Amino acid sequence: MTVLLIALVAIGAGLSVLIVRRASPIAAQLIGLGATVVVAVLAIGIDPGDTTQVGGMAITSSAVLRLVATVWSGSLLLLALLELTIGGRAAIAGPALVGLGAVVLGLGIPDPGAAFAAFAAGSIPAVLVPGASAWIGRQDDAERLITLRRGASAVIAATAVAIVVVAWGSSPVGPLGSGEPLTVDDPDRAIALGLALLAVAGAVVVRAGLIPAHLWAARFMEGVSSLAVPAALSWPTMAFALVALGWGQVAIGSPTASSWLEHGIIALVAVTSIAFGGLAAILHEDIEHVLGYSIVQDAGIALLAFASLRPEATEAARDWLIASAAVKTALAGWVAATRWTFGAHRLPDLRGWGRQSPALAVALVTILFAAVGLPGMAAFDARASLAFEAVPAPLGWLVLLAAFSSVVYYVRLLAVGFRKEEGGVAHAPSPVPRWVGARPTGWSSRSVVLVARDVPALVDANRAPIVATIAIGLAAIGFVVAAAGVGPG
Amino acid sequence: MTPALAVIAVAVAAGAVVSISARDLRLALIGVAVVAVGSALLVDPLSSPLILAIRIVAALLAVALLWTVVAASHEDGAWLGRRGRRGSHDTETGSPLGWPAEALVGIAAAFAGIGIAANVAGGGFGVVGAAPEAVASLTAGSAIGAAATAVLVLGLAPALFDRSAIRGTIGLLLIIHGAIGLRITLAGPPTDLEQLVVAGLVIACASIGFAIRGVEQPAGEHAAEPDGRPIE
Repeated sequence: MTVLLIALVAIGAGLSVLIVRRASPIAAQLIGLGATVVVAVLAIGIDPGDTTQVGGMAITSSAVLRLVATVWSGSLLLLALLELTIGGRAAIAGPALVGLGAVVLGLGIPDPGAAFAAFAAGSIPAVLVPGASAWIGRQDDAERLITLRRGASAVIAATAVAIVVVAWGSSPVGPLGSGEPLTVDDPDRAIALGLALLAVAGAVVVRAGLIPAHLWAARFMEGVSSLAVPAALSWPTMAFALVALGWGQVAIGSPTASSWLEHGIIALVAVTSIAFGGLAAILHEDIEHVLGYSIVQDAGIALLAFASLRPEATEAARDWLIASAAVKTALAGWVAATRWTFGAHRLPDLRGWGRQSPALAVALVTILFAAVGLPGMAAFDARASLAFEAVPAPLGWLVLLAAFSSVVYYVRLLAVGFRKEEGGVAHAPSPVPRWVGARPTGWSSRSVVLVARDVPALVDANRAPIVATIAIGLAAIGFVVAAAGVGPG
Repeated sequence: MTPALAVIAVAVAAGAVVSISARDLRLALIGVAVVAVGSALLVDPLSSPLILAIRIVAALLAVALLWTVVAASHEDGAWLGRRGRRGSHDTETGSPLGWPAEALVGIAAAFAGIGIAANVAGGGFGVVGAAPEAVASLTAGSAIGAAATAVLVLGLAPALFDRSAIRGTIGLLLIIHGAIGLRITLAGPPTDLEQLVVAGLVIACASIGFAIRGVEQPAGEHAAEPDGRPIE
């Protein structure tokens, strides 16, 4: 019942935010914050195994669903606070809440086709609203409107393909509907299963914006606030890939995924995204581009699971996908905080950011440890497992090396931060908390009123430390998820 | 297969042809409405009245969303026309192939859909190609499959290649309705919850054209002025 309640609260509140945000952005942000708190509290209370019958279908909660709902709602709360602090246009909470509700509902539905439809319905606002808000009225952005359409079209196309393939699997001519064993001895069956695997993996490639379908994702991230990226890309892609993997493991199985042609095509696309995504993140000077291409690289690592489909690979992919979404949400928060604090987003203009704001440096170091990981951490082990499940040693070591290229771009960001401050960075707002405007008062009945009156001035004077603290909070969530994973069960 | 289902399937396919080939966007949207409402009825057995009503209301709401921007565009076009300027919708000319060619494409795709339905009805996982007796007997799935495949194939070109936000969205709506129809052909009628999710997806899909065209229009007004001054 809790899952259904979360979906209803999140989707209802998200739509309310979308309706009122033009008339009153502050009211929209407050509704968004309030609903996110409610959803986070409800998510913590999810009981794995709880089942509710709705509309002829059982909605079932699980440990994965609880983790996703808790981490995504907690991170969203911090993202919404960050947007409120830096004076955003209330473009984040509404679509993200709708997306969160759809992801929770989709992960609880046993039918993968319905889940894909729910993910698409929930993530289209997350693509459209931030893009339309960022670009409205700008004369030089006709091409970017096409990017928005491409993004939404990619979501629809991936969903349509996935719905048809899943329906085929359940039909009398498919592996699940026919009740016949998953074998590749019969060449006709082998071809059918192989095509189904390639189609569903292709849908993941398009949905995630992997190379070669990365154009829309790259352009999208150029134009919108980085705070919008988790709801548009990271979390819906995570949910889409999780459901696609679960279906693939049951309906197609590892014998087909191990066939040389299917295995080779999927591994090639995945390794291309890992290598070139990492390389692009290293070479680009725009921190939004670093965020975007690091997401592409992470999704490439998850795609390796489709080249194996063994239970070990799908379990590793589950840990990796959730950790990656949480860590990239933290990186998106850090990018937004850094851009707002220093008024710059290109690395040459950000020299010395770490010296100027040690709190933001702490956040990035935490993100570095969460993203790269240490032996024993769930995400670290999952990445190694995925690499070697899909590409056996010694080539697997090369794939793993490419996957670890994330160290280079995180260290590069940090290295720029500890160079001598220049330009706008030297004149950025102080990260040290200040008590400007607060008047010391004795304890009396009037003192509470006086202190309350000083709060807005205090918040205004301390925006920089608040923003940095929120970035640290997001990074801490990412680190905990990357370290712990889903856990047994 | 009931005659009613066959009539609805033909109407849905015809609506798809109209929606992508009509020069006037308002006529195209009427075609989309026929496809959307007809798709809600292309289920065997028919959904419960409540679910059917929700699907139809969602379909009409999706069309209404697009209608608001198309109507506003026509009003702007008429206003600009009086001032000797061209509105943005003037560039929207419908399918370059024309409706007869699109209708032939739809018919060809419909035969493919009938083949898929026959294979599902008469085959098994290990069978490639339907048994002759299965092909001879047209089932409810044949009508649904024919309409769904026609709608899906007709929607591909505008969704992939048309630069107009509204026509691209019409293409995406056709793809969604086609995919759902194909899903029913292959795996049987959807559950009520799945129908509700599909209703939400259709509205979300229509919001693509609504949002992008809504942004396009103010930008287009500024861009239409050659000397850079805003239109008074």
